[in-house]
Amino acid sequence: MEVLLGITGKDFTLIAASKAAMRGVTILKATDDKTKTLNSHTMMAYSGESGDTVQFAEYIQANVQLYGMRNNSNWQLSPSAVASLIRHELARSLRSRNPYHVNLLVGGFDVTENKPHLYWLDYLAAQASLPYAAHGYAQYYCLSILDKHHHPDIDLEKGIELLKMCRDELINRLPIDFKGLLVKVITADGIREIEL
Amino acid sequence: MSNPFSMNGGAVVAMVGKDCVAIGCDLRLGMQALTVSNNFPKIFSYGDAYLGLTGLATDVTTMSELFRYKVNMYRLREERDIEPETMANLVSSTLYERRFGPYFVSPVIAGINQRTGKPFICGFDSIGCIDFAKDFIVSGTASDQLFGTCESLWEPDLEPEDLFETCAQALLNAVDRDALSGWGAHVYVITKDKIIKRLLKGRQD
Amino acid sequence: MSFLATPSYPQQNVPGGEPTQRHGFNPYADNGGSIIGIAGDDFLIMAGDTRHTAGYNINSRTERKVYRLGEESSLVLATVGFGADAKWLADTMKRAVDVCFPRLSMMKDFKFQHNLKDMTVSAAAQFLFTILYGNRFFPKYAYCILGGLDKNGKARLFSYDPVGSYSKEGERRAAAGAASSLIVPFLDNQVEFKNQYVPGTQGMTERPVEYLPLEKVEMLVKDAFTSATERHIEVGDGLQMVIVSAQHGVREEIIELKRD
Repeated sequence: MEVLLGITGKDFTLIAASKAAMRGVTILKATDDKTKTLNSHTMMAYSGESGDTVQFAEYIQANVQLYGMRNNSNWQLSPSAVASLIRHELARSLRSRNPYHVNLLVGGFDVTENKPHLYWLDYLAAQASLPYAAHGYAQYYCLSILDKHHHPDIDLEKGIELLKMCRDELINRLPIDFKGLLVKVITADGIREIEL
Repeated sequence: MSNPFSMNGGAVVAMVGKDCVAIGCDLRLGMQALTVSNNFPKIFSYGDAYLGLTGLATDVTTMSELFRYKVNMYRLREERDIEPETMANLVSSTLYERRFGPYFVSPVIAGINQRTGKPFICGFDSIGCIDFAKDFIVSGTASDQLFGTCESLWEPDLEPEDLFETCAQALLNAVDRDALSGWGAHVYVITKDKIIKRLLKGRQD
Repeated sequence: MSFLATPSYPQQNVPGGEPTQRHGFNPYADNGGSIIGIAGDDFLIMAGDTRHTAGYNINSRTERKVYRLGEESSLVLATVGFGADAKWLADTMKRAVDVCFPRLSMMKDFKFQHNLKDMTVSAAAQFLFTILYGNRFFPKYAYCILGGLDKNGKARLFSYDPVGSYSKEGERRAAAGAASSLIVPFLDNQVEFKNQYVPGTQGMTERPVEYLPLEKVEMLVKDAFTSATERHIEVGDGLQMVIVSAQHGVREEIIELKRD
């Protein structure tokens, strides 16, 4: 019952992930961080098979940074380029002997075109660019809320309010406590964590 | 898991008219019954050839990117655009390369040969068997419905505007009877010197 | 129809024991074909192809699927699916509605009990539901479309699943059988004008639904079946049409379809 949520607005992308690290029905940790920072304006949240998730995320993190270093230290990959790179790696893994079972949300803010970005990727490497997205059971509870209340030009305050609505619904409906959400926001200024 | 061809849903149709062709697709991306995106086009342009891809979404993206690479390489080598007929053979041989571990896609090609001015459409199975057709090609989870609508609405030698209407009506009414396709559509009408792309609003359910 | 597929388990013998014999009997078959019904204001057309198949074999090219339920009655039943069950349903309905076999009838025919009055369409519709639902736990595997004229000469049409679900309001058009997935979206478009808009309204006003004239409906039925014949191997040979009209009575017509 891992929760991944992402919402874009006028000038930001919000990424939220549940803080519970679970194994079967046991909660091993209540302060887990299922996100990775990829570069100054791009990050991702991941869920799926334990072991695969962190392994794949760290691989991606290292390779996105390597790509930046190899090319130009002042220049870095745009969110769409990062998402394509991740999809490529995941698609390659899909037809290997043991594929990664990892679902992802990639959020970012493109500083050149001044636009927020959110990409949804499942473990099959199906990719979609979306205004708001979720993974796991959260899809069934949160997408309908966001369908009704989301607009592309909302401000951060409204985005956080939507996230709270989603969290409250999940607390109400999910049978296992997911220990709240770790929330990060990406704006033109970079990535920062916020308290919900 | 079930069938990889119907996990994400989607539909593509191509039709021949008088000195023109049309190709259309729906916009849904789903995971089984859950709709994830309503803006996932399945038609990609490669110079004079237009390629529609239905099936497993990851393979739709992989194939579209693979052909972008291959067609760009072709263009650099040949210093000209690829013709639809050549594209058909490229798609066929690329798919057959994966004979025993296929990409789960059902491609469709539409285009006009710039040299001869002849309209061209064709379809493929997932391992590259080409289906040349004089009238129309359908593919995707709504293929049964598309066969029904195309077979009864299509007629020979339609002018571009009539071909658009026929293609759009065939597509829209077919995807409305398929739970895994729909949520809007793209339709391209291709003539020798003009390409018109239209975005269609469809039922949102 | 995967639940109807014959199970194909390999014969398994226990080593050292008696050879086991497993007996399987599938009480159903799929005999292909398609039927449709379209209602106008004061007429309706019920149609079906005349091909009867078993897998890739053609059993008959002249087997009708549309039945009149009585000589004087306007009631028409079309059924498709498992041919034997379909025929049984048609016979049962005929016997109930008409005065064919008053002596043999198990459930006393309707005319005999009701002072030689004809059964109404809505009554026949509810009766067909009772028959189908009565077999709920060993269903008659047939999809039915029932049509007829009501007391005011208005056309009524009902369609059923194998266990009897139907809408009492009736419908304007229905299709069932092997090629229904091909025919239904065409009928959506041409009978109910789905996805059609009034010109010049920028796609804001839907084209209003109206009753179609008989000639137009007849054309649609023929188009639907010639198209289904092109693309579905279980449809073809002949097209049986029963036209029930308040003005001109009941007329039956059989035209050729492709036999390949």
